[in-house]
Amino acid sequence: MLGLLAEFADAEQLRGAVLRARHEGYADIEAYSPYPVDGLTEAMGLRRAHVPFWMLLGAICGGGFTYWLEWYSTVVNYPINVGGRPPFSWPAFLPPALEMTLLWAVLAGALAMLIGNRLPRVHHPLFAVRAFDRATGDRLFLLLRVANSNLEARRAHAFLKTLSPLSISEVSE
Amino acid sequence: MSAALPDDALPPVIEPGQNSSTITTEISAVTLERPTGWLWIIGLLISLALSGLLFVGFCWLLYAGVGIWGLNIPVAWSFAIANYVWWIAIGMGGTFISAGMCLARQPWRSSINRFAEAMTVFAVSVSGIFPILHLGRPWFFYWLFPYPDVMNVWPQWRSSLEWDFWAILAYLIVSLAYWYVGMLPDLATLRDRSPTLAKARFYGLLALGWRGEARHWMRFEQFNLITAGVAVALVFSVHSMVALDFSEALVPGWHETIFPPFFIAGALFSGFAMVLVLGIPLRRFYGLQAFLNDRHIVNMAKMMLCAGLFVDYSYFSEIFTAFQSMDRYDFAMTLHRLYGAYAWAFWGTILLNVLNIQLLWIPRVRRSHAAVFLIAIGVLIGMWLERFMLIVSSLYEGFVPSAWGMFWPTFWDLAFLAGSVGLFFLMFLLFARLLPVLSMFELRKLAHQGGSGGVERGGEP
Amino acid sequence: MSSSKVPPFDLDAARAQLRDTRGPRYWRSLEELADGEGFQAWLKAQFPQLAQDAPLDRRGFLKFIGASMALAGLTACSHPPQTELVPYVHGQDEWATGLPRYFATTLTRNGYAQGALVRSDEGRPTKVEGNPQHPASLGATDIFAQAAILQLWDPDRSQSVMRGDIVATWEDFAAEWLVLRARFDRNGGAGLRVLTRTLTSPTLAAQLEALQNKYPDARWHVHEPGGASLSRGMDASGLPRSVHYRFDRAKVILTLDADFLSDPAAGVRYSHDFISGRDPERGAMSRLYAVEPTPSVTGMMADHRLPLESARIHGFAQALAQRLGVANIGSTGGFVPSSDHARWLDAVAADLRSTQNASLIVAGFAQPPEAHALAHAMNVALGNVGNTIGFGAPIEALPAQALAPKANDDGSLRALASAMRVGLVDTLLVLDGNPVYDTSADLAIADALKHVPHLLHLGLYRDETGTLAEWHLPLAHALEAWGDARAFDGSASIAQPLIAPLYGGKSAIELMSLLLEGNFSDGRALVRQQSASQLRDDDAWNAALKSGVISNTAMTVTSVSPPFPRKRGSSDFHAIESNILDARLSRNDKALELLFRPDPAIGAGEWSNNGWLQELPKPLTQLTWDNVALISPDLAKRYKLNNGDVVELRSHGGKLHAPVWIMPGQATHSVTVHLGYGRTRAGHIGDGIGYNANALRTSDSPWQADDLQIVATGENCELATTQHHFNMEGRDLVRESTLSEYLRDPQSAVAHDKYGEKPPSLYPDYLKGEYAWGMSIDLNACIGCKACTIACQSENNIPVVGKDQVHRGREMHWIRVDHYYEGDAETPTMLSQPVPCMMCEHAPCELVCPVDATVHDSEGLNVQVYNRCVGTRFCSNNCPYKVRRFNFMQYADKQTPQYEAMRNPEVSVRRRGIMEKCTYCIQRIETAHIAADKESRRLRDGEVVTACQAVCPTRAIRFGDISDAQSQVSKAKASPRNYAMLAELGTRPRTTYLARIRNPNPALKDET
Repeated sequence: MLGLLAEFADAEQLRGAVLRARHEGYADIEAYSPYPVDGLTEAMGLRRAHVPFWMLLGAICGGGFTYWLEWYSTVVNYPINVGGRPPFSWPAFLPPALEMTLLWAVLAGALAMLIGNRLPRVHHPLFAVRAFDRATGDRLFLLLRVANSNLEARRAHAFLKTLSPLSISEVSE
Repeated sequence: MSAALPDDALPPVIEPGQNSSTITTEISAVTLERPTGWLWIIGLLISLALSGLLFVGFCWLLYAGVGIWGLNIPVAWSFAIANYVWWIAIGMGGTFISAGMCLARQPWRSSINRFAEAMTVFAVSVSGIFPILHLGRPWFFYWLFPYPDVMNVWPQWRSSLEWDFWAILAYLIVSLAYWYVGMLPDLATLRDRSPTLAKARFYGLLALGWRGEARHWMRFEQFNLITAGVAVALVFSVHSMVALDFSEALVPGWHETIFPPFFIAGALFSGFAMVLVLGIPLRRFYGLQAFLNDRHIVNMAKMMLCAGLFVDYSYFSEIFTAFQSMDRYDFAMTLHRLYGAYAWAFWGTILLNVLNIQLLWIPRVRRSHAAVFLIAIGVLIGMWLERFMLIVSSLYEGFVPSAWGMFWPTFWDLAFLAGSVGLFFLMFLLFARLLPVLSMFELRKLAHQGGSGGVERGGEP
Repeated sequence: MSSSKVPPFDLDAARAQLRDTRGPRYWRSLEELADGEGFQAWLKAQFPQLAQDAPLDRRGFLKFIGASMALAGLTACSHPPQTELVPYVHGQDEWATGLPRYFATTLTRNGYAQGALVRSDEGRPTKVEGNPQHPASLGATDIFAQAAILQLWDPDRSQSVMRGDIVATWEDFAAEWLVLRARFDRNGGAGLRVLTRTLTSPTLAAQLEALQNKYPDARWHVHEPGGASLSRGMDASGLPRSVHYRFDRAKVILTLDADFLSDPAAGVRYSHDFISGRDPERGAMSRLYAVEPTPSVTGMMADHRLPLESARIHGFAQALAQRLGVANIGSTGGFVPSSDHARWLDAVAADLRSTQNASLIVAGFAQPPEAHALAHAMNVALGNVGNTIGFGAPIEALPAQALAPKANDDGSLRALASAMRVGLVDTLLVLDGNPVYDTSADLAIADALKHVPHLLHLGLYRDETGTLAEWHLPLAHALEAWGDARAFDGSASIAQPLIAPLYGGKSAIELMSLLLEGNFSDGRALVRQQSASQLRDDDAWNAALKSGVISNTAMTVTSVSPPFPRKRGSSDFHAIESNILDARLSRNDKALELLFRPDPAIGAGEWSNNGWLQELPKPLTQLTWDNVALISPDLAKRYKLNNGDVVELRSHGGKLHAPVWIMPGQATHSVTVHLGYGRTRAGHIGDGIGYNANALRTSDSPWQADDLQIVATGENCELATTQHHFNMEGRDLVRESTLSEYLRDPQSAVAHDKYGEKPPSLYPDYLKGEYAWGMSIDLNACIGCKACTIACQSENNIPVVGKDQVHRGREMHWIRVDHYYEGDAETPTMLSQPVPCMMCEHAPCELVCPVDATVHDSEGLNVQVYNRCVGTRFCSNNCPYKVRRFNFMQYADKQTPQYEAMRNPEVSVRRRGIMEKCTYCIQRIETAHIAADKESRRLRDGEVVTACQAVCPTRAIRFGDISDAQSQVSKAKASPRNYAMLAELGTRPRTTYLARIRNPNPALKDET
């Protein structure tokens, strides 16, 4: 089995539960909510993700490459007299570079977000849990991953009880 | 400005008593349970018919050439380009509402940003058709894209059409990504509430397995926040490019430094109008009064008025500049615009974009959904007229009088305009039926933060 | 595409198959033929691009008849005709395959010779140039010579001998003739009549003379629908003489309704002479006064122009003659000079007297003999005879009756018509003419022809006359057959064919040889034999063919002036009672006169089926594809008419509907209509457009009617004009000054305000290439004849788009000639300005093209890369001069094989969706480059000549290397008159203009 899933009705409860669980030494936990809950990330003690960094990188590459391509095609590869303008008309070359800066930033961001979140993943053991259907609706959940031993399981179950959740369900592999 | 107006009586952003479960139920019901209404079907049939017309026109155009339109020398651009600018401008409004006001932390946007973004995506897609079909040889549109070529030919990077190509490309992709990624949590909701397995599969695939993990939300919010910033930058840059399509030319009436800001104001103006034109009926037919109420309408109306005033200023400044510079050609062009063969287009624009919106100063008018709806329709028409006027009245009487000419639309000019409207509404109707029309997770968050208590009374632009 | 193991298609067999099939069966068998496997395969082999058309449905098939017939000719013409041709002396002497060759030959307009050099590509005539050695050409041509190429390749041309509606052969006709001939041999030719147009061909003239000798009772009649040339005069006894003008020597010229710049015989030469007498750089300019009822090209060039009703011009001439002290001029009739007229008359008289025997007065062909007599008397009084004007024997060949008029038979068409009515005519042979269409209504020729048992018609088209004829015989085009003709000055020249007849046509002289000897003789032999006296041996013959003129055949010009008759003469000047209208005008000014004129673009109808000419914007009105009724602004006000309003014209009991066009400068009471429209059998180009003005003409006054009434019908019809706005809006696009001003301060010509100044540029100049091409257009020399437009169309394969597309503003001409009016609408100053591509150094079009489809080359050309163009049309929007043309639809005809064969192989044919424009004839530049490179030398100045430059009669266009200070164009650009259009935009045009200089009479200053 994967672990135990506790269901809560509001965000404060979940956040408290997360803190308690970590205090109890449950390292491998996961929280689920139908909307972003302020402070939950901190409570879980997650490292800040690097989406902004990838977006910045995308921006630099996109803009830089486009501007370089403009220079290369007009100055190196095929210089030709267009309307008496100099081959490297640098101001006129800015707009495409700018647009590509923005486009590549967003594309990189979207990728970073999905890959970082290990998405897409159309099936997940949690989906087998009936109660979990409300995870995207009006309920919040705490998942304790526990080693595959009855002892562990019972301990975890006992602990979860103390959090007075709406329900506790087993998540099987 | 709002202080002077009795808007304190406005209802809160979302109806009191709303919480996660009510929000989820009511909104997902729109897509999942609600039976398909006959109004929706009629709407779909009409827009299908119009889209069909567009398709026929498209085939005929490819067969016979752009000569089926009323184009000529000197008026080598007209309807198609007007349609293009009109649609892409409408898109801008959507992005600005979802992105700009997200940065400005305007809670009331949560109710409208989803369909505003959808509107953006559809409007931009429709607008993208025109620059391509407008080419003499549409099948070679990809020549604007740089690719290794045996002849070493590249795009001509100095042309504003080239810039515009990149702008549209970037804008289409970014608005799609922003819209879709933002929709993932709600798609997950629909997945989990699907009555049938088929629907569950459908939304399951779209939701990409979103589970609302804390990690998901963290990256999701990072992405959304920065992309919002980027999107705002796009709104301004893209529409500046659109403006440069004209002002890079030396044509009197186009060659004006005011064009980029002028066009951006116009874009927001028409975009807000379209949001109102879509939102008011949407609220009505899908019973979303709880989330879309007077506050939203009034705020949107104020923003439309505000953008409109910028546009009106630009009209004035254009004419003023012509008289002040007394440049022979610019001056003549202005007179032709005001009194020439296309004066009706100019004065029509003034009527709809200047006089029409002044009504919105009156609180009672702002409160009346019908009135706001009609005014917004007027603005949309006015903005199309403005584009037509800017293009044709600048081209038809240029530098050399011997080459002066006239443009008159053919049946196909009108068919393509009507068809584009049809295609837009076809896409929007399908959206309203198949996808979450309001952003549930944002409303949940709002409810959770007590937005339902109406504490966020601010929120006027 | 190889024709291997294909059942061979035997064309002769096919012809045989067609020969004895008639009526419906004929068509069917043609269908079978066109569908037959052999034909298809053969077709595939010959014309791959045609193969797609098969299998043919009925419609396709009809389109196809032209093709299937043409193929015969095309196959034949893949080589030059099998007779011995001699290339133009300055052409390549040793000829490499693939290079075009030039042949000197002779085209005729209204019968008069126009020397031409015709380019032959692989045996296909593709372009006409002027022949520098020919007196009527001096290297230039008119629009008709240019359009001759399209006429040659016209698929609507008559393609076989027809007996009634049945296809026949020349042999059939020969047999028939032998029968007829037997009878004429017996009765001395009684009942045999020949009708020709004006003709100058010595060979044909000799044959006609022989015919008359052989058949004393046979008669020859002449009918010229296009109007007589100014070079045609008459002497005291009314006998024809040739008149020779020297416009280059004249210092003061007065024209009485004489449009000498577009004279059918010598317009090109007169234009050249006139302009060479008006060079402001030399400081000496002639002064031109024009008195005319309706604006003409000549009137446009005039320094002073007086609009005056045609019927009053004789009176005006009398008043002037009085002032010049010409004796007994007769009663001055009803002409009462207004104060303006009086001032004008005094000034002109003084000016004329001031120049000792260096003035010139010319009366137009539409004026009565009285007016001509007066003009002549004044020339005598002014001592011009022998200096600016001289006389000689007639150039035209004339029927005996014309020389010795018998009772009621002066050799005119009227005489013929009356003879037909009383059944005197048994056999009428029409040699290249269309009397059924182009004759006055009162003659009712079609009706009269019913009394003629045998009508034989030789013509390029099976036209209105051909369809009535018992026998229609296809005429060989001037470029298909041997022939000869004489020019306005009498010098004879030979026409050598450039291609075997496409449709098995025969020339007039070949037909005549049949009539005389009973069998066809070779045209070359006939011409050779005729010219034997001048060209004794082969060398002389070859020399004549090479140079295109037979030397020393020009008329000897005598200065003894034949006293002109003071009363109505009896040649084909048709006299009118010139004072009637005048008298009526003095009573009430409701009276109107109706003027008939040949259409400036399509003549009297012989060019109706020519798309180039139909689409050529007519000088001054810029109308295409239509004829209108020109009315004065006053008249328009009085009848509340606008352009395009349809009125009913009533005259001599006849009536017809015509759209009006308000013509600034039109005499108040004159309404002008043009001939050549309303054709019913012209072909698919010329049928059913415009109206037939002949319906109101009368044979005793073919050029004007003085009882016109007009009634507005309330209808309106759409006219396709290429220019809608004729006011320059105060923008100094065309700059002009007066001679005195110019001499005082040369800069005055190009004086400008804050506009017109070239602004500085941020960009570094590009390095100039080996050459820097540039063009200079002298507006002082441009007469607005539009030859450049047509020459360009022919050289650059520019398609014809049709009336509807022109009306939508989609005409394709690469060089247009703009017209502007200045001053009041009654007596405006008229300006014309040719506008090709300006080849801007800082080209706005290039900047905005997203795909590099229009860029600069190293020699400064703004080149358009058709293959790269995607058709955004931004370049056209951004072109301030609007010289770019767009293929909104598929305009170039890719189906008709004739047009494929006609096109210039050096210029690619543009497809739909592509922008095009003037290229400075880049193909000519490249050809010259190659020639120079082979000899490893630089291009010489004048080695590259653009099509528009070559054709220009007045040398208004100069082209060359502007980096070479010694080149013609550099010298021209060095003139103080030089300016660039819209220079203030910083486009830096390579095409610049030389300001126009006018030479007004100070005594009339306040008026101009």
